[in-house]
Amino acid sequence: MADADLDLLQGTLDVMILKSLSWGPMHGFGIAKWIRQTTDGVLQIEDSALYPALHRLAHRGLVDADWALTENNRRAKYYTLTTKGRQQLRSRVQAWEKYSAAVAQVVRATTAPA
Amino acid sequence: MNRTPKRDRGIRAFRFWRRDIGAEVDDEIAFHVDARADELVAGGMSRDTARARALAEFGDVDRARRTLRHLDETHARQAARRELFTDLWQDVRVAARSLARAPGFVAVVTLTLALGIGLNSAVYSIVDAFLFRPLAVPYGKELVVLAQTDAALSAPHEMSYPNYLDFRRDTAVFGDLAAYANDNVNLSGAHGAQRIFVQDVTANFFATLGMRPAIGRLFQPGDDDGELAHPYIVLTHAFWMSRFGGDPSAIGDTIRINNHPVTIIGVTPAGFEGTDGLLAADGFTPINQTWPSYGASLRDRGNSGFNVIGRLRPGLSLGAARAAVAAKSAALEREYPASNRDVTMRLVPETRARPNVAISGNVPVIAAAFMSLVLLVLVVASANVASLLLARTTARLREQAIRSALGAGRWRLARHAIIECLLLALAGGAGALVLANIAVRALTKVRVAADVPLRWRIAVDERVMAFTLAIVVATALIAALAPLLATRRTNLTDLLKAGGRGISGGHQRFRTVLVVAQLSVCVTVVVCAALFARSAVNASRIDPGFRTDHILIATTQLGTQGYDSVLGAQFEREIERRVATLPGVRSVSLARYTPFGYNNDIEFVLPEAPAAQIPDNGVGAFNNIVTPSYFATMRIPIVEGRGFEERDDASAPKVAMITRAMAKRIWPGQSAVGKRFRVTKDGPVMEIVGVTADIQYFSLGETPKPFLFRPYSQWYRSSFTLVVHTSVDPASLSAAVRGAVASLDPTLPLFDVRSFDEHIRSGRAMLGTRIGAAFSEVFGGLALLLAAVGLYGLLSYAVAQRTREIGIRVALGAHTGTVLRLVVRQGLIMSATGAAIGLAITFGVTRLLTALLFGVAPHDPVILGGVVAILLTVGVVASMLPALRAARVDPVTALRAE
Repeated sequence: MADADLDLLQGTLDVMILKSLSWGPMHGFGIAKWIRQTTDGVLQIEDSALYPALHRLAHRGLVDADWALTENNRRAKYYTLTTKGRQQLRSRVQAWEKYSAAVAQVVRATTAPA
Repeated sequence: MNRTPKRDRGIRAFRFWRRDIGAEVDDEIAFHVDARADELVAGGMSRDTARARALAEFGDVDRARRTLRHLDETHARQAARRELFTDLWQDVRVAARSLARAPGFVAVVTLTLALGIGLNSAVYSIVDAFLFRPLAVPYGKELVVLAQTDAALSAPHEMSYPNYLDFRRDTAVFGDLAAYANDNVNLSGAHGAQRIFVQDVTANFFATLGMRPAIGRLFQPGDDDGELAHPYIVLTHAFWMSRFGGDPSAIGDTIRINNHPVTIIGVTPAGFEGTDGLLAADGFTPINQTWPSYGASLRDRGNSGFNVIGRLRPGLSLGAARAAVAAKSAALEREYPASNRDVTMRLVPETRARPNVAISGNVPVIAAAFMSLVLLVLVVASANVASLLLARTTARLREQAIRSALGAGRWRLARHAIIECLLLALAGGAGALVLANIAVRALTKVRVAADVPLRWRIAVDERVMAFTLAIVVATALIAALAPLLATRRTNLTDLLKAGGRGISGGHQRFRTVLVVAQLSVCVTVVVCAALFARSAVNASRIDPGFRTDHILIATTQLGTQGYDSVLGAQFEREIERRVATLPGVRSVSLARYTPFGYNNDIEFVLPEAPAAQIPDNGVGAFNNIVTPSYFATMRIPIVEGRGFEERDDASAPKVAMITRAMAKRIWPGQSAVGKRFRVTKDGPVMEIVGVTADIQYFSLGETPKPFLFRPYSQWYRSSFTLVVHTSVDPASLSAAVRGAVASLDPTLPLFDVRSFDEHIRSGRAMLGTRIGAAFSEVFGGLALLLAAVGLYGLLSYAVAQRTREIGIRVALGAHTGTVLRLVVRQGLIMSATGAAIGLAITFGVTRLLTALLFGVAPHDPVILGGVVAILLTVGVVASMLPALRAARVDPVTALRAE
């Protein structure tokens, strides 16, 4: 995979993680499950790739991490969106929408190049 | 689950890491796998299958674990470092703010450290130049010097040319080996005549050093072949600038060296001044290619006159090279027993062969002695600064105790103190570099009274700055240590209860001794400074037996310029006549030697009929060869007989004049006029025609010794000094005298042109006194200042410690005056003790200086009294500030500390 593809994928994964946390704190397993369900399994993201992305976001200050108990009384690491993370999500979503609209326009185009 | 503030995240990450990042990562992955397995079990799968499936879905667990651990550990480290720097920066700001509140304290400490450190930087810059810094050439670090020791001279010195060639051919030892000889030559050409210093070098000289020309070319193989066949000169950049104004078209020009044509072929890069340790070369000529030639001396194995410098074969160690050189020396000794008996060659790294390989052995010892001395001064300065810091710390003990009680750790408090010291030492270091620069610039301006271009490759450069920085850090740590140790011994909690008392008294006693010692040393050094200063004034009043005012002297050498004795004698008569007609000239004469100069000659007088007991080899006497007008020009009275006259020419019977001291020594109670003597057993007999009054000749203030004069007309010398008695400022006539010489021979350079007063002031006569004066004045000022700071620091501390006691006294009705006296008396007692001890030391030391003193006794009561008065004044002044602080103690504040 070329670097550009990796960046794109990495960026996409970051946006999905940030989005999943926009409803509230969540642990890694919850995030993985939400992405799988939301994309109807179209995007196969390995769990082993999700966690490094999560930790990097934490180090960049976009999410906070803290241990807490689940409903089943088990210890799990919960991630919370920070203010900075929320801003990042907003700008990335806008960029993504612009980008996908442009790509969509191109692939649905009906006129031949002049 | 609140969001944590940004700052805390770093700290948590720090703890996180300490708490084992590995376990955290494992827990997180385990939770994920367990949760997924639970989900699958709920969907109807068996526990084992579900677990296997969950693991498979997760992907490479080990790899993920490694990645996460690495990520988290890296981040934790970065965060910890960031936090440390944030804290340090905060400490720096706190320290800077707290120092800014005490500008007086900062000024005193900075000045003390600047002086202490500056002295070290200045001395180090000299040591560096002589011992460590390689020559400014590409192969500077690899250069070695090959020198010879023999039966005549055990110190390593120059080699003979044939021996040099044999070593050069031995390529098993040397990569390249060059030889050179130093030479003074007469340069003439379009820009007038000038005496310059050149190095006659082998053609491989520049290749050995790895040098390339700045412009033109340097020497190439073959340039030193034959005799007078390649008359080339390469100029140093500095000389090209000063003589030719940096004009590139000078390359290819022909100039005259010793009145023979020589072509300028190139210029060396700026900063290169040749390979001599003390003298800066003006140019380089290929060996044996400029007039006069070396002749047979290049083939004489016994003629050791060549300096040898080179590089070892790559990969060869100094030890192996030395063994090979020793073996080669032995082989040469066997082969040439006549010339090489007991001749051994020694190999020395170039940096250990300065300023000259013969005396370089002592340089490290002298350097170490000087460095130890100035480091000692720095230690005293640091002790004084520590004392000041201690006073400051004591005054702030309550603040510290409170900070400690509020949870500031011991390390944090210590760090605060160290940072404060570091800031002070940095300020001191900056001041030190300024002072060192001034000192070095003053040093490089020192001139010896001779027209030799002294080379002082001394500079405050990045090497000296690195040294200074190291000293700064060391000083900061030393100065911070004392107050730290003091507070460490004190239990801060007890202190808080006690309200500021409780520093042990042991330090106090030690520091009192230190300050008194400084005051004592101060007395000695300042007395020396005063004695030297008085001597310098007195020296100008000493009557040497001849006139020193309104005399201009100027020297030249006819021999190297190609004059024989007939032409030379003609020239000498003519120049005397021409200078005599110059406006402003009262009289003029020629003399071979100049009193108090570097160039002297001793003859042994063998009388035909002595009246007194004299040694078999005669009476040794300095002597001079002069023209008849010398005695009138120098105002030396002729007390008996006559002076030299025109009739005493080469064909007349040989005549001489002696001083009264000589007459008394050989013919006491008789008239010396008419007596006859020789100066060599088979030499011509001379008749004494006159006796002069006594003169001082070798050192100023000496008891007159026997002295002998002979006339130029009977003793031709190709070198002479014009002695001109002027009616105007003698220096103003130097151009006219140069013009008169140029009108006779424009190729003849005149050198050492100066007034006689200047010759005495900057010459050999006053050298010891001047160096002594310079050193003792600098050290005297420094010692005074350090002692004052030491006293001030000690008393400040005492006042800070006794604040409560003083408060009580004031509360009980003590007057301001009483409190002032309390402190000042302590300062005065210490000053007086220091003065008493200092005077005792002074009596021992100054006796050694007698030889350098003029007209002042080593125990001059005015000087001793004056210095004691100065010291007591310093004592009062240094006590005044702490005393005023004590007087301002507010009893309410002081007692509230209870």
